Amino acid sequence: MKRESILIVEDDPNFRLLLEYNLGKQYQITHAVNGIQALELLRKITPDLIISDIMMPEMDGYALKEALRNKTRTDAMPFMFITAMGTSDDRKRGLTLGIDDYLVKPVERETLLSRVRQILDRAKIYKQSFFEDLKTGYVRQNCGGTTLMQNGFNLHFRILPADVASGDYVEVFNYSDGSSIVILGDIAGKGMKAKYFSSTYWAYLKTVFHIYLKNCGALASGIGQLNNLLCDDSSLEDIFTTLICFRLGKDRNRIVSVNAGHLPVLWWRSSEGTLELIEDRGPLLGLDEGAVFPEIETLIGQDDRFIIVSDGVLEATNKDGVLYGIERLQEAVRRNGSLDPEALTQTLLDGVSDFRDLTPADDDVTVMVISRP
Amino acid sequence: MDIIHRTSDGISIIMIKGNMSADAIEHARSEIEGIVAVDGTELLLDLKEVEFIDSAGIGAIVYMVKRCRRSGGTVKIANVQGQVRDVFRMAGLDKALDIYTSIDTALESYPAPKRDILTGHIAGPILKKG
Repeated sequence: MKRESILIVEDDPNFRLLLEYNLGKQYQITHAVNGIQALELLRKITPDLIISDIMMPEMDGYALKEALRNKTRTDAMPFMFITAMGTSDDRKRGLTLGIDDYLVKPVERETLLSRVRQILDRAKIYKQSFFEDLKTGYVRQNCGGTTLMQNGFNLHFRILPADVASGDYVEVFNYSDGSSIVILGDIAGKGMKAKYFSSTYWAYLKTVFHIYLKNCGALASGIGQLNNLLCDDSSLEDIFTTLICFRLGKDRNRIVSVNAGHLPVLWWRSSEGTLELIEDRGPLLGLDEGAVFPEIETLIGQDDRFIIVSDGVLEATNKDGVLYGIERLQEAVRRNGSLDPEALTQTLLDGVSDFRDLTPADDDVTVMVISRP
Repeated sequence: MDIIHRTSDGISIIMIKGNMSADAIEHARSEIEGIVAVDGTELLLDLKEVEFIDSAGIGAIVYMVKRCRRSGGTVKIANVQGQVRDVFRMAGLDKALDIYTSIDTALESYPAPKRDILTGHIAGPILKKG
């Protein structure tokens, strides 16, 4: 498990060493000798706690805390003073800056460890309850299942979210003419901004698929419209999304697909027992206004399978840092392509899980199988 | 991940060293935002020393591209190779972005610098306050 990190800001080298000695066994320690150096370091690192002296050259502890309060990213960062300044006015001034604790030197080892632990535990509890609230608003419920589509195709998928709110999603739109559109997508990004994007993106996506595609029918054109909507929205600057969608019509010999920056489709040809990649794709969405997305028509045979995965599958890593990768996935599909869709999905997911062993997942893992019975 | 920044004829050349993975990107977030903070930035990314990129790294590149383009600047990328090239291709970035085989060929693609006749200074990005 990753160790919690502490930034120590202290100009006295002896006291700094003492703090590092006492805290270094449990926490990852970085240090700075004054507020200026601390601010420079904080451009690159995000510690779980900052412990700062007050009286330091160039920039003292008060000025450092003031500077951190003025930035959204560091405003709520846990912060404590350990200082020789012990008057009640000193303490009051520190507390009005919004610090978490104030200790006066000299500090007993047990007191130091206990107070540091309390701050870190409080921060952890706050984060957990924040994300629990977030979960009720944003988590997607469709983590898996089997659907017999209205046109006779079989759809099976499983999403294993890495976080409380999955970025991967599967959605089905059914139209009155008997056709359906199936989408697998991945909204990249973490934190509140990604969750905001998710809501905005869904609004655009449903608009396009309910209204535009219902009336016009051209899948590639619809994806182009969605792309342009996302490009126009300046609030979505550092989030991007990929998707792949399939139109399943009454003609069960044909699948029309459009791929916007997603991984290729693995097409298992049942009659030949072979695997083919469908690689034609346009760029990911929201980057290139006016981008063209090729529309691919595939004539599929009985018992053929389209296997589609999210990048969490290929990017799964084991304890040696080796990626699962496309070759392993292709090999797994070659070996198991003839299984029924539910068993195939589970086998592929088990393969990823076994490869990863105990290494924790840091991205959602999704496998979807579309088959023609 | 380290970011090394230099300027040549008004072009910001950013060499990224190390893996562009989720943790590295998170730690470099402020630096990345600082790079594209100036409106009209002409940005050239050198990925020669990047051996691995994941979706977080792609997100960082997408952010820089969108931010620069929106403010009137451009982004070009050089030395995309190995796993990075494969990921770019899968994400369709090889078609959506200006990618060059080397820094030199990327620099040659820019128009000749505009020099002020009187001062000899080269016009740079426009700094907007506020």
